[in-house]
Amino acid sequence: MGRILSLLLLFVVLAATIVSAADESAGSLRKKKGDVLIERQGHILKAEDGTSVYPNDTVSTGANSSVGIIFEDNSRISLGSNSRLELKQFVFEPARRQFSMVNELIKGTASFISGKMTKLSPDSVILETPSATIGVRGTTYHVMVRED
Amino acid sequence: MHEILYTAGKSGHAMSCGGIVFVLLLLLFASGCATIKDTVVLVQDADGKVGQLTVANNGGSKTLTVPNTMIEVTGSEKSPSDPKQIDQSKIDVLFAESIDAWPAEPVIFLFYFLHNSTDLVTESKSDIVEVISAVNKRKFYEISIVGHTDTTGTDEHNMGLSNARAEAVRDALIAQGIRSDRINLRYHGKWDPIVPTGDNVSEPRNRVVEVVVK
Repeated sequence: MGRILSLLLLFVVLAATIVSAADESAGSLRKKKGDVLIERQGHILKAEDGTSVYPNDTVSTGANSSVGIIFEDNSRISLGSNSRLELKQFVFEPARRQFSMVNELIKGTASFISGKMTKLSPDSVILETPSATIGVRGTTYHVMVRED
Repeated sequence: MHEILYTAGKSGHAMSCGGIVFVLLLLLFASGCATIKDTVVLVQDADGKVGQLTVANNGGSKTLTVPNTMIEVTGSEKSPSDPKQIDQSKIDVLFAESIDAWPAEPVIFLFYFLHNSTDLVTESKSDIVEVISAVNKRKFYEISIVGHTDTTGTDEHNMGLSNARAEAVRDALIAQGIRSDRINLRYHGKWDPIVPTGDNVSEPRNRVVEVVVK
């Protein structure tokens, strides 16, 4: 009986661990203006200040719209109008020495300020565009991607 | 290359001698004004530092190290351009909307603790009020709390200690009216020291909880 209980307990603890890992947000939205949407697992969500974003989310802005994202490592990315940014990977775990931030600017304009990630792990931050891959070593920068 | 041949074919030119000359002329013309797809601009950080950007694709790789310079990309198979100068006024126009949407700079507070303890040093006790005042200045806030330790003791002990310190600060903030659903708590043990040291170094500045209002 005790053995079954402890197995059950172990299962509950494991399940809780898995849930909390999946719950880990990459950052959250600020300064939302106009039409800003988040695509998450096939669903389209309305974005507001404070809305959490997760790896695999795509954040998009309409005409005369813009939004900022503040990440867990204090990196900041903001999008101008008619822009589309896919958050591909965000891992910031200094305790396990795991670092990775990969985003793709699919179209539009974006401005970037690096956070702690590139200080702790200089080769872990990458921005992709449909035509190139940008390796980022702790800096402020801007990117514009024009559509075909 | 493909686009150019297609254009030539569409306009009805047979690949005669004249056709080839026409294609060559088009090539010359196109190489002068290939459509720019990406513009990548390096600028200076707010604190004056400048980092580095490397732009790479199947065509090659180029690096920016000087502020207010840019690289242009015309396609995934074509080498990124060499760095070129770009005026600040042009940057301000091209990126006006995204610059305007940059989230405010996070405000960082450091709460120091006594050795191997979850008790704040006297000087840090009043900083709770400072956090509340930073929160009140913002339209929207979230608070991140990260517990740290110095590098004395085992990994396991320091993970527990950094967690307990972070929770002590969290409870003090909630007591002052901060919403618990706006707090994100993490602890990094001895792996993310504020002041880098070797292992087993007693460093008071690393017995710390970092509170970031953002």
